[in-house]
Amino acid sequence: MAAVDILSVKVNNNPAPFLSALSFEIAYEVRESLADDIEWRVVYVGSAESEAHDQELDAVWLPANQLGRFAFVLEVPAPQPERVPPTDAVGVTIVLLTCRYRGREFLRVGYYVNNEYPPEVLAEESARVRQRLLQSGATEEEAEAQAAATVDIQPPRWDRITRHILAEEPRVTRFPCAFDRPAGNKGGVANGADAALTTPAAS
Amino acid sequence: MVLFTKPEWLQHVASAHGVSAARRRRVIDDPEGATAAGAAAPSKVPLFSIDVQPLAAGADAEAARVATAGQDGRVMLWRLGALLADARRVAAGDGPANASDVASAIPPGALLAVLSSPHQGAANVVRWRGDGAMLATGGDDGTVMLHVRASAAGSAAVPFGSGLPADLSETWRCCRVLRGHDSDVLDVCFSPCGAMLASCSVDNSVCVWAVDERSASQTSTVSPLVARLSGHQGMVKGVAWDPTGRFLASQSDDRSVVLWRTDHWGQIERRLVDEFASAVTEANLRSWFMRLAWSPSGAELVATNSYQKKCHVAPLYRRSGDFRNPIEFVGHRAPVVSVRWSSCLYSRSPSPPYEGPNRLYFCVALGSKDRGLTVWRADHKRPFFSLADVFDDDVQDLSWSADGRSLVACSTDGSAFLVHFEPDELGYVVPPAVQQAELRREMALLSGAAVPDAGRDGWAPSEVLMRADVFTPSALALQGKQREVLARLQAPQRESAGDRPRSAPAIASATPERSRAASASRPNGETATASSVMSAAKAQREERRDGKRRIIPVALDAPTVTMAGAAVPNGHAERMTPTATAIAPIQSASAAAAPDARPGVETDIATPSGAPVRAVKTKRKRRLAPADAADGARSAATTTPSLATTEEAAPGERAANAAAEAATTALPLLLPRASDATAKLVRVVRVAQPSITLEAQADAATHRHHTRLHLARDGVCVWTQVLAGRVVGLECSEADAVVWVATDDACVQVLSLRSGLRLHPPLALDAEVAWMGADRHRWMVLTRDAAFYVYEMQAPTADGYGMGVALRLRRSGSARFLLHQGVWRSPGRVPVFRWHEARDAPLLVSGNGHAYLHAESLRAWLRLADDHYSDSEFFPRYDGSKAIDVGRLDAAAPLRLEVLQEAAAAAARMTTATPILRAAPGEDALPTLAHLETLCNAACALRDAAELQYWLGNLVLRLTTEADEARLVEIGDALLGAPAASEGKEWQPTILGIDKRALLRDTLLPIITTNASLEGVVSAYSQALAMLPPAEGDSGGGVDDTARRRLS
Repeated sequence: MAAVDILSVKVNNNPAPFLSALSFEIAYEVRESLADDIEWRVVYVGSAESEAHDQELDAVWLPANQLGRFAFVLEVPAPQPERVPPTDAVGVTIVLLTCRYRGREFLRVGYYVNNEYPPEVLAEESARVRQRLLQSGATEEEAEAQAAATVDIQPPRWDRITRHILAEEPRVTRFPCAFDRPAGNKGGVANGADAALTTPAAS
Repeated sequence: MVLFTKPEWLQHVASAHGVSAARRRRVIDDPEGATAAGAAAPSKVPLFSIDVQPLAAGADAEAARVATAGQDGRVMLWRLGALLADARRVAAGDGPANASDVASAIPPGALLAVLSSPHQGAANVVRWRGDGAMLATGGDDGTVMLHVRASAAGSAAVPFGSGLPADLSETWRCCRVLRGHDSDVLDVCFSPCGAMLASCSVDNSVCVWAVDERSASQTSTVSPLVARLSGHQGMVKGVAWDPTGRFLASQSDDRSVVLWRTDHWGQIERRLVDEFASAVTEANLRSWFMRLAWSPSGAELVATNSYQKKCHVAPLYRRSGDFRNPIEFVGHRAPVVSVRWSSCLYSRSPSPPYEGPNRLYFCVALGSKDRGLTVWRADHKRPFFSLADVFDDDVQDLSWSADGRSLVACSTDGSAFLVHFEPDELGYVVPPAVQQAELRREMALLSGAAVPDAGRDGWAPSEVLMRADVFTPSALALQGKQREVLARLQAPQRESAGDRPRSAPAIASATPERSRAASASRPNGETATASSVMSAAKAQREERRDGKRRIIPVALDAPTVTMAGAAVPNGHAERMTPTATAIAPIQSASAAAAPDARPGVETDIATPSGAPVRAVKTKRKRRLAPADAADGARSAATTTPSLATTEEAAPGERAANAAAEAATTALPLLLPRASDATAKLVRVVRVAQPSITLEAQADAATHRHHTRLHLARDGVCVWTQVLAGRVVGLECSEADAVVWVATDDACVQVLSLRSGLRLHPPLALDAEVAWMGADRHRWMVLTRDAAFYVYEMQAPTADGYGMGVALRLRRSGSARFLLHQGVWRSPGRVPVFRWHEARDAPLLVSGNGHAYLHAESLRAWLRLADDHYSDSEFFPRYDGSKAIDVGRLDAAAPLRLEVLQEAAAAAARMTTATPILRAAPGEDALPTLAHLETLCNAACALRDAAELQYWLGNLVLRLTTEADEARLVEIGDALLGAPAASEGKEWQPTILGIDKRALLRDTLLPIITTNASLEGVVSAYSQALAMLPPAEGDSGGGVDDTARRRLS
């Protein structure tokens, strides 16, 4: 049994401009009091292709020394645009809420995030694309087709991007964690290889 | 016609989301392959266990809950009726309802709950207690958890992110965690009466736990572990409790089935090996359960996974045949992994007589790795029904419904299967009365007794002690009663799950500190739920830690069912007493507020075994007798996690407990043991130099019948003594230079502290000693049947019995009030005995901090201090700076009321006690007044004039503030002596040596004067006093007539 479990997450400020702060209202339950604080972190995955673009937006400590249910609002700054690859400015990416105890992650909540330009911005851009194509000698049809397909702007116009967190579809992963119990006593930790040997019919 | 179904919707669903960004799954889905919870894998989560809730006879069978446990660590509850409905739909030829995802395919009402505390790693087993009110689960995390139903109010019924419908009707929460296994728990089984639980694990051991409500609500320092049975040389994969209570059967990878005796834990009655010599226990690194089972009467035991003559069989052992020459159920093509008996008796025809071709029979179902299951008549060699290839993978577990007509099974393939029989197929289930009679007859035959008559209702207490969970004839009746109670409890529950009145408890049961803090943080009194964003954002505070923000969150209203783990680090985890109705769990004093019993501080703490042990001042100073130097690391009783005995409760008492869960009025029969007899017992006599330590340890060679006792001075062994029996208590008096040693044969030895010399013949008391305490020359013994004796030590006298000391009985009697729940033991407290010289009576501070004085003339104990008044202004506030402790009473501290009060207050911090007398709005003064009145009386009882004057003054002051004329007049009249005199009764002019009228005139009237509205009272008494000669007892009748006229 996990000493700390998550009860709910409410995503505030959603949808919102890309450059605005992210805000999560998190409710959690402490089932066994812990000697040390738990650490909540918010990580913005800049690009799915590489973890190099992951940004830790903020990390905060929370006490877990009292049993009960608690709630807090975690407001963290927006991701830094310069650390996001320009090609990944729009599209689907991920924001992660993780909870760690003594450096060990035991809970992860992932949300898909959809970044896109509002229609009016895209309309402006497609007009500009069409103009540019026509000037460079493309045919009317080609220019029209290109313009209609415009969803991205290079270089990105960060101030115009809308961020939409798919709040209704959290992906929750819980990791085994010994918390304050000595790791020797099983009391809570099962490792995969071990489990495969010992759990009946573990596949 | 046989109905069956394998509903698609019954599965432990991994969240089913259709986000199209598959390429990004790397991060978000199941990172590092941690758990199955997030995996959108095409295969279902394997189900390892299934169990149908037992129901009271006559209850609607379809209302039963079906619990499933899966590899995802979760346990889900389903409605049996929904499965049956599905089966009928299948029979009617309707295809399964198509739905886009699994979550939305679940029929409304089919999924009742998801247990709120999942296991870390797979949940391997789930079992209902016999009364259907509690669930036990065991998992790969090595824990066993007990779950009860909680109020749905304010709690998230659905695990966050599970994708399940959010409107589940029930909330089941974990009320206890049993820790003790070192590795995966594979099977659990409740004892027939539900007071104990056996669990088995891949760590090769079987653990037996006390799980009745009483042990749950007792101190958290008493381990619920009754016994650890280590006799298997391989993983133990199945455990089954004999319905007659005599044996516990377990089956293991070591190719044996062991029958453990329940009256002497650790002793093996039989080891059955012949049938398992060639059994296969694993294939391709996959092993499997071996869930063996007893028949409902205990006459037969069916084991699993036997391989003989190139056949996989399940051997059926008959008790009457001394478990030899088993019958074999042959037919499965792979190992049998699960056996479950229907709890019902069947007959071929619906009516009596049940004999000849129509005789009664039991049914048993087998599940196998050959993906099929079979149903057998217990005495037949051919199955009734054989269901082959029901699943795509191994069968893991089976369970029968209470009405004996439905059988469910679950499989590694993640699905569950239900088959429902008609009476003309499986047989007619006989009426409960017939079944009871039959079971009783069979059980009586088994126990070798004559058929019991209804009049005999239990074993004598001594027998009860001997036979832990033994079936008694009355147990059946009690079980029936249990079920009736349960039926009543369940009936309204089902209807009103949603609209149950929101129970007061959430806030009301919190400690004042906590509720104040909570309301302070929510100025509008608004409930801080996840939706009240603004209030949460405003209320939370921030600080800095390591350059990061540290947020102090807002406590939400809904209380937590707290964990009462066996090995909770702080030792005083809070707990709730689960009730069948489980209206709402109790939030108790916050753990942080409770003072820790730190190892460096000199304090009385209770060891896990409950032995009163004084902690030594520092670790450095605790040295041990040389004899045990090698054992030193684990010898300190304060740190040894010893196996605790929880008392073997009488079946009748236990059933009564279960039956009256909501209103526990039944008293237990016995106090808990002083300490576990198998553990080493250490008693520090003196901390200061030279330190004196007593240590008793069962002799390693002979184990249970022989104890060595050492006394060490400054770590040097001074003397050694040997004693028969196991030592259960040690007490010592330096003043008399004697040591008292209580042994488990109900004897107490008196030894010399100097040399260990036996000074007196052993005292054989009526019952085993539960506790001993000393106060200078007096020594109190409390036996487990709650009788007490106070002896005084004297030098040898002419008529004394002992060679070196003479004992004089100063007081004896009963202290059965200690049997009330929670009175005797409390977390971190040991009882204290003192002799009150002024009253010449024993004074006992029980574990919950309450102080009692024995009043011999009343044949009763008087409660002088308790923790009921924590809302009172005069209740001592514990600010953490002063080390107020019951231990203070141990020293030569004066037996002042103030000290007792502080002890009670300090104990109140440690326990989960909630203020019983609470200030209702507008009646703030009531608890304070009640408290002051109690104090005044207690001061009289203790014959303490100064305290009486002080508290009486305060009481009158408060009554004056409240303008409570009636009570003031009653006090005034009593002091004036007017009504007594007028009615011709005897009146004492003084109380505890204080002149009553002087007290009234000089102390109390000036106080009453402060309230102008009580002017009439003051003037009436002033006049009455003025007309009386102050020091004389008699008063003229006319005077008080005047007074009374003026008053009325």
